[in-house]
Amino acid sequence: MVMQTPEEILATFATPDMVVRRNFTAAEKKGSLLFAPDMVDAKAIGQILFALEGRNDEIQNAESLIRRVIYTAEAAAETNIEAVIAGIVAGDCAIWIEGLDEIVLANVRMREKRGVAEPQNEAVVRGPRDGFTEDFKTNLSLLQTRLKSAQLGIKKLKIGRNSNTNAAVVFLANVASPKVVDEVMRRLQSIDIDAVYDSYNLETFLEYRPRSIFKQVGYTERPDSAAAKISEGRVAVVVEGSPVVLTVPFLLVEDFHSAEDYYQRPAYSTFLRYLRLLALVAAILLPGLYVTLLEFNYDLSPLRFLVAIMNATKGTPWPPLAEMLIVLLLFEIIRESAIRMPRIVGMAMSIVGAIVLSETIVRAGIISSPSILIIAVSSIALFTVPNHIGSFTLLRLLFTLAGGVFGLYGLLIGSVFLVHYLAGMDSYGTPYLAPFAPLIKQDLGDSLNKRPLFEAKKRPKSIRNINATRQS
Amino acid sequence: MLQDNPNNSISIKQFAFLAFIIGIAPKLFTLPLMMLKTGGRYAWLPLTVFLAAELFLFGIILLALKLKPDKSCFQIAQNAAGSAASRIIFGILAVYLLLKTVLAVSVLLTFINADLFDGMPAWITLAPLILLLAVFGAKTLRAVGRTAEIVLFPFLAALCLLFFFVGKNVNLVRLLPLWGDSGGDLAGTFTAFALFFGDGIALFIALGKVKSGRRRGVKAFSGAAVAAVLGLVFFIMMFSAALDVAHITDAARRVTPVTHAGAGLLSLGRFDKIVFTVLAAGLLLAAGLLFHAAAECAAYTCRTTKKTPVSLVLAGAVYAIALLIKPHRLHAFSQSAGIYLAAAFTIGFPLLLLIFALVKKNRGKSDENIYIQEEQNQNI
Repeated sequence: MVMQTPEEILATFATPDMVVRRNFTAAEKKGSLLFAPDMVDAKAIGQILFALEGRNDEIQNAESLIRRVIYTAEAAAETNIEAVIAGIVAGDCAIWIEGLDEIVLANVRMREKRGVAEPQNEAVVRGPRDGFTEDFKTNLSLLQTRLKSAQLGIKKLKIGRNSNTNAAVVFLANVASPKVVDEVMRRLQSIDIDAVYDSYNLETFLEYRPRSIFKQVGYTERPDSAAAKISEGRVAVVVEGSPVVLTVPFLLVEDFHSAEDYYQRPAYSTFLRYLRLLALVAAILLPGLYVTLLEFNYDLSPLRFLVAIMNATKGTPWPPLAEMLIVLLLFEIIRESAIRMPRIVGMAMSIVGAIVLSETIVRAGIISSPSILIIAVSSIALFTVPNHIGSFTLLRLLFTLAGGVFGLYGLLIGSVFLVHYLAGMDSYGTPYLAPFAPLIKQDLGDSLNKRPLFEAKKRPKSIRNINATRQS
Repeated sequence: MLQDNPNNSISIKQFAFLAFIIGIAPKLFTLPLMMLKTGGRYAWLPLTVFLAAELFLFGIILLALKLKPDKSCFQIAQNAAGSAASRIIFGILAVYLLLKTVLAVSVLLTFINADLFDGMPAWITLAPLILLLAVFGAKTLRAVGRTAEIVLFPFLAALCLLFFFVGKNVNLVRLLPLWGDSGGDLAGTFTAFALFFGDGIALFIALGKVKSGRRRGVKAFSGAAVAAVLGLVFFIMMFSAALDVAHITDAARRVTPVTHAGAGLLSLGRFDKIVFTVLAAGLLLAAGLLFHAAAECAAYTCRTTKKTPVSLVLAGAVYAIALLIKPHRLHAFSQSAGIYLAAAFTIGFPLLLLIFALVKKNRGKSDENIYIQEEQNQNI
């Protein structure tokens, strides 16, 4: 193709001022450097200019320019004008020299990035303290540091017409199923969107049921967790600008695991996982059961308990369902405002909401204290599985309505529907409820149970892989 | 594109769990007391016969599975009887399965109205249940099988508690054949309750979809056999326990008071209702499987792969039937025609299926012989 001149390249920009053009003469040939000043390392630009101006011997082609003049680690000759423009906006420096067929793109990118720090959402008492950052290269290097293997596959691609966001699909070629890798690549490559700002933007593209209230893609901010998942045969997706790495296939039981589970005694981890399950069931069903108890089936509760409840609810103006819904919505409003507000004000807000408001509302006889208690217990329990707060909050609301309208019958129908719905879900050929439905004995060792690592001879059967043996 | 497992197969474990749940769950509610009321001291005789017939039915399904492990019931029938005849057969079967679904729904509603939730118009009470059935019909058998795996554990736990509660009230002296203070109508029991048995017929839908494994038949049969034995034990326990509370057998519609009396923990609340609610999940699953089988048959008859509209239409039909036909009329119908329908479908249909499988098997063999003979001729 006929190479464009710097004027023509600059004319493609909406505001040509955003690109700086520095002219030079190298070996008696006129040339120009084109770069976006806010994205580049000025020192590196100066070095390139100095090197170019100092050349007296003839520059025959772009290849010799790269070999003899440009000393940055990454440089390439480009004939495609769109690639040149994409390079400039990404922070590369384009070197145009009169008479050459190609333009050289040299990587002189520099941008501010925060250091590797422990992720706040997945902190551990014992275990590594590093976490992913917003920097793409840092994230890849964190994974490569943990999986120093020639079998570590990294397939890079750019997503977003305007954002040109870097993304990488990371997997172990001797473990992960090629079908899963290909499917992830196919889904990512088929995305035609103007911009991608975070890995979350890609999540729904990777899901089989993007409208479901249940997430079907795992995510982590911890390199050790991501590396462990890759070692099990999963495929990770790293996205520029996001400290959260996505992993597929995803099982529901994964969210009952925490990073800490792998750095403490297996028996204790097992206990905690069962506790989380119990807490979650309580979180979803407790408000519905309470409403059922008061509306339809008061005979379900022990007599003394019933008397205590009756005394506490005496005189409140609302029917049990309405009262529970009011408290539920009130809690959600307080939670939402506490998150959105500045941290210090948010803490004060939580105290006002949790203590002052509930105390006052109970004393005024507007809401009964058992309702506050039930929602408080349910909400605390809900946070034992923090990755599912959104979906389980909705479920809690639905089960409360089901219990309030249909009693135990509503809860029964709701539970069977929920199980049947989840049982029908798959993620990249992996059953969502595995290893419980279908029951896979081999995988039960790291499901709710946590067996010692030396017993984990095989990789999870539920995750498609091409190498089942983990240790001999 | 990486699809969900396209062959929609279930594991032998799931098949056995389904056989177990569908074998026992529909019988735990009103049936024992109703049979006791009608059959009195002889109720165990028809009960034994019905359970034996269920096992026979299941045995035939397994035999067909062994003969044609990779063929669905539709393929087996179509290969042997032709497309038109097989479509008629499965169309009739769809109607029967719908009737069985309505019966299961009526058992569930009786329990719900009597013990859990009364006072709401039936058209409202039925609505969520019908929606759930429609979902069961539209989804895959694999989803039903996986649901069975999750439901099984709480179901078993509730079953153990139920046996414990009822067992506490069993008077061993009155256990069969020693008890003699309650007479009944033996023939009437045979005709009245035949239709309540044989729900396992829905399992034929799993033909060709069960993943192969070692000792598949033994594993699958064990699910049904355990259900039959537990069912027999439970009935006898209920018969013995309920004889002490004559007023309950008179009502014959509420099962929980017997267990409540057995539990005896009055100050601790009606824990037995929670137990039965968990057991009702098994009944829902059984109704769901019957409905799923009906939807598959109807879809085959209509030659469509779009199961969602078929399920919605059938769910509408179940809704209408359950609303329009009062339970006592349904019961009266099952008393008059139930025995013939049950005989035709619980015994007749599986036998027909087995014959189809054998016919095709023989045809397959003769084809094979011809092929071998041709090959030998060519060699000569």
